[in-house]
Amino acid sequence: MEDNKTVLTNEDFSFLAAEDKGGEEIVRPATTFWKDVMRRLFSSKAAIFSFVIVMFMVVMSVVIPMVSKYQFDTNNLMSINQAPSAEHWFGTDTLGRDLWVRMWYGGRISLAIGFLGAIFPSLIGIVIGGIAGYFGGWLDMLIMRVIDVLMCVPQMVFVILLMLKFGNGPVSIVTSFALIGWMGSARNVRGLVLQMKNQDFVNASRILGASHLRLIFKHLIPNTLGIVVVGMTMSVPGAIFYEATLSILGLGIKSPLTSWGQLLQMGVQNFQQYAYQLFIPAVILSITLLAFNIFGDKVRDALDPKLRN
Amino acid sequence: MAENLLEVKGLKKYFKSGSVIDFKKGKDWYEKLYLKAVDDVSFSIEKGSTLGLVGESGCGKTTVGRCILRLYRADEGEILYNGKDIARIPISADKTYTKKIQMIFQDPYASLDPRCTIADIIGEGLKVHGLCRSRAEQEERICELLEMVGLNREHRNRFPHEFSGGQRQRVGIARALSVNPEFIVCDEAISALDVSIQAQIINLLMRLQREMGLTYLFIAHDLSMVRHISDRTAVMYLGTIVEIGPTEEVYLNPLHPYTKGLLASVPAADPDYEKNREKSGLTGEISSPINPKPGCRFADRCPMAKEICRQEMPPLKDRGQGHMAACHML
Repeated sequence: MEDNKTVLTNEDFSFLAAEDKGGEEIVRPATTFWKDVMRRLFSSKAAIFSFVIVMFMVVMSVVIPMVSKYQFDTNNLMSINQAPSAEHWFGTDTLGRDLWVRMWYGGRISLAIGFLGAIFPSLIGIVIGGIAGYFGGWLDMLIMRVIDVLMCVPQMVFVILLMLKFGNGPVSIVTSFALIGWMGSARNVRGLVLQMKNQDFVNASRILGASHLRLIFKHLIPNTLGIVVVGMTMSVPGAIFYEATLSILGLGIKSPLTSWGQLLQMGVQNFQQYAYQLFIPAVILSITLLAFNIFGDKVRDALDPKLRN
Repeated sequence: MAENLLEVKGLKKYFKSGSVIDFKKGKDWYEKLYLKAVDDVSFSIEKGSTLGLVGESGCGKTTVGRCILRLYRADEGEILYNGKDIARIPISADKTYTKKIQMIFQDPYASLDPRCTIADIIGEGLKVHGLCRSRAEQEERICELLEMVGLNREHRNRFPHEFSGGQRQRVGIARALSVNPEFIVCDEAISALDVSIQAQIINLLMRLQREMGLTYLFIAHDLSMVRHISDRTAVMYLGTIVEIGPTEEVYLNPLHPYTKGLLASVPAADPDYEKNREKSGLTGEISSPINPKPGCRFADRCPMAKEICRQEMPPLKDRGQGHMAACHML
């Protein structure tokens, strides 16, 4: 019988060389937080679609008034209140101005008010809320009570008073938005900063000797940006809508300057005879607001950490 | 004997914890409640050595560390750093000591800013203290620190979420080392890591101590790790130090009944022995640190407690060779 026992030698008991199994290697490619957000945002069809619509509105507003053969404020009394045709795609108004070019010129102003009217109040809110949350104590108390009081006054009253002071026009509309719209985002940011300011990464910087300003602007505010950006995206349609409301009430943009709200106001006056003057701007405004709302919604979803992965 | 780098004398930190209104008490109907997180703690650490601070959750270990770092303002007592009292200097007022005293945090996930790259995180101390003259020098220093803690220089442009717990802890160590500190508070620096990584980090800390002459205050609840790294060990119970001494002395010859119970509760590695051995561990729960009763804090759980233990707080007395314990029964 053959001896089939395995012969064990000393070599079998020697130590194996430590293998590099790549345990410390990083498998995922480097991505930043925002890249990740972008990837999730644009994996949604609704987000892409609404983004395309918004971009379409922006591009048309920029380009059309530059290339059109009509000016937004030249009137031609030979052709007033004409229905849409090959000559005037959206028709003309009571003063014979081409509505196609007025539509997109108004878009410039409406969209600019929408974007700036969302960004400026948020910026003010971030700074004030960040300071209130970080320093706490009596300063926080004071700022929050001022906000409480300001929020008790109806916004419309504020805007009207500020418009009386600054006069009509896009600049004064944005200014008055900035002066009244910061309270919401200030509250938001303050809450987030309060939550975060005692976390270890903030303590670590404090221990390294970082100044108050550095802690607020380098660590606390960047970590609230996600939520602030959502708020900002959501408030763009609000600002456009508010401008439209003001213009319809006759408090916003005044002719010959135009905005979507101002076009609506003109349309309302004549819509029993010339319904297209109301409907075309109404449809464009509605589509834009809808697209902004859907986009804002998708941005919020993309930034929500609970929906990650 | 080497000089003391840090000396803590009579440190007290109370937190307000509401109040009680009881009209039956007559004149003292209104009583403010204080959570006595740290109540008269004194110890000293020699230059280049490690003091281990152990105790169960909520005993005030972390509060001691944070008072030394001045994240909390001490209510009473002195914190002498190289002979100078720093307890009353607010952290934002004087940057000198932020360069000398650093901290390694417990949770490697919460202690790195998720929006900053590793280079930003490690470079922050360099920037704040203006330690580098040029950008290139700063880059070079960051790479050097990364390699010192066993990471690659390619890691510097990554974000914290791309790293594992052990790697993040290494980043935290590099950040603490960036300003060339003399003294580091390791607050549960290894308890969030798994055992094999714990050993790596401990060995890294010990190597750095040898190379750079660092002094550690090592706060932990893992007794075996503390034994491995510490020269001296202090045991805390409910805001007070009950025993302090050379590590081997404390571990082999514990004096205070709490230390004995704590050591007896460490599971043995041999399962047969573990099954049969007598478990003289601690019974009962840690009592509340809010307005504690007079007398020894441990009296409620102590098997040896006598009348005097409930009336008088035992002082910390030397029982030979720098081994001190606070107990009436010794």
